[in-house]
Amino acid sequence: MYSKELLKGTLRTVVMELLARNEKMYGYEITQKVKELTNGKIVITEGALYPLLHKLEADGLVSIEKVAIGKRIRKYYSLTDNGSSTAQQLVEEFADFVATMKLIIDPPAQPGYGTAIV
Amino acid sequence: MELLSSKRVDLVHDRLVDQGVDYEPLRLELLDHICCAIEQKMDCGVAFAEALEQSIHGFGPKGLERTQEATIYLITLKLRKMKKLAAISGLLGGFLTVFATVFKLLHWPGANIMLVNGIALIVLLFLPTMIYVQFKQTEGVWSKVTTVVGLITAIAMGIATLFKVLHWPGASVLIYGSSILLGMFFMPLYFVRTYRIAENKLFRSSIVIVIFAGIFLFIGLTQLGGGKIFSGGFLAIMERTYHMQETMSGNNAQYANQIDEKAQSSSEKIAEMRSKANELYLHLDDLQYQLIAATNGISVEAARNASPEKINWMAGPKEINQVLFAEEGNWTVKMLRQKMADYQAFALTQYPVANQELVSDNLSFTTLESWEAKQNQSWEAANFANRPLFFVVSYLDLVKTETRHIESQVLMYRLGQSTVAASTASLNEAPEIES
Repeated sequence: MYSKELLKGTLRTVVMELLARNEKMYGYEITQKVKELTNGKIVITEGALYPLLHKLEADGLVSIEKVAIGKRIRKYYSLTDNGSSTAQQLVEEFADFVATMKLIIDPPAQPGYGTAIV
Repeated sequence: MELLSSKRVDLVHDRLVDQGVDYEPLRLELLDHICCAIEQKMDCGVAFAEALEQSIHGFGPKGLERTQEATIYLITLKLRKMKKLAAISGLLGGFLTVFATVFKLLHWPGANIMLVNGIALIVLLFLPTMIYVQFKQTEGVWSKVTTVVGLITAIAMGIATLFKVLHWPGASVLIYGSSILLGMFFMPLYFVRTYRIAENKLFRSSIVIVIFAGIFLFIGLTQLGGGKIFSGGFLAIMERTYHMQETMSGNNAQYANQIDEKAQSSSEKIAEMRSKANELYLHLDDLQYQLIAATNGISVEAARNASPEKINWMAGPKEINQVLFAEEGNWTVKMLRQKMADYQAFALTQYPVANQELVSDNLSFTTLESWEAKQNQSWEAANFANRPLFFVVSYLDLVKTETRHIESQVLMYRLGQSTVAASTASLNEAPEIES
């Protein structure tokens, strides 16, 4: 499990990227998928997921489809055109962020430092 | 995976209601979510009751309530920002407009720039954000339509006011347009909505009607609508008066010609009467242009050539008083009265002394002595002191018409005299009468 702070900033990216890869998903499915993909290392809480999904809906980034499952109503989410481009931007930004972080954590060797003098 | 029975789904639903999840879109979604979680747990052999508790506890203490709070917070974030913007722009724009109006009334500098900024804030920021806020907040299609139409009307009126204040072209079109929006769209919509919602329908409706009547009265009186109708009517009546004077003048010329044909002897007297009438008429005409020039701050020449629509007929009375009540000069009211009295006296001399008393009433300006006898005010004070331009000019037109009328009276009398004389002469010349 990762720290809450670390996950907080990436939830939006995770959810939108999942929706980009799958045509349509419902809330529970998203939580299970994330668990499955990360071998349980990332668990999305319902308390964070649903507010986010409703916000994405209000902003017009996702469209919804309601399907009756017995007495329940299942709400499927899929990205709108606007949502797709936003998802792409978020993923690109995150990839760039990871690459940048790597520069800090694992700096490339620079001549003059740490080279053994034979 | 086996689906939960509808009875169990109801149990879960009741549980969500108990936990205070009353925002329906979220509640239905959480219902499906928890049911899925329970089904999965039951697949692994957990009993329903146990699975339900675990799933609810999965949200943490008060977790369901918090989820709802977070959801509502996020989806209303934009609305709250817009409300804040509306509140700030409304306060600022409103205050600026009120201050600007006070400044304008007191003729202090800076009123216009304040007014422009105030109205611009209201029209460009406050009202559009209010459209967004109200559209999100009001429920029901007709209420939404009414609110949006009302705000669009308000924007149109705001822009029209701005154009009017700055004297930009097209203000009148905007005012008429927004009045049509107000009267034909917003008012009926708003009235119907109020009537439907209100408990005391008659009372609420009467308030709405009175408010709208007030708005229309305001538009009618202050905007050019009223002013334009007034000046249009004023110019039209001036034109008709002028037409009447021309007709009378033409008729008088014809009488004079006929008298000339019948009796050569009186032609000199007739010519004198006509020239006296023309002299007074021209003096009145010149006086009118003197007053137009003085009140509008232009030369007499410019006043004569200016189109009537360009003249400010509401001007005066300060400049008019200065011209008419000057110590001396050709354009004083004292001089005018003298000329009118002279003309009246001359007209009277055209009749035999025996008849003069009989015709004197018919030959006088109804507005001189006879008028003063009935009123407790002098003719000068009543008709010229502290009067605006349109009144004095119209009044002088009246005097012009009376001048022609008196001329006409005298000529008619002369024509009658000469006709009698001519027929007597012809009787003497031709004694034989056809049978």
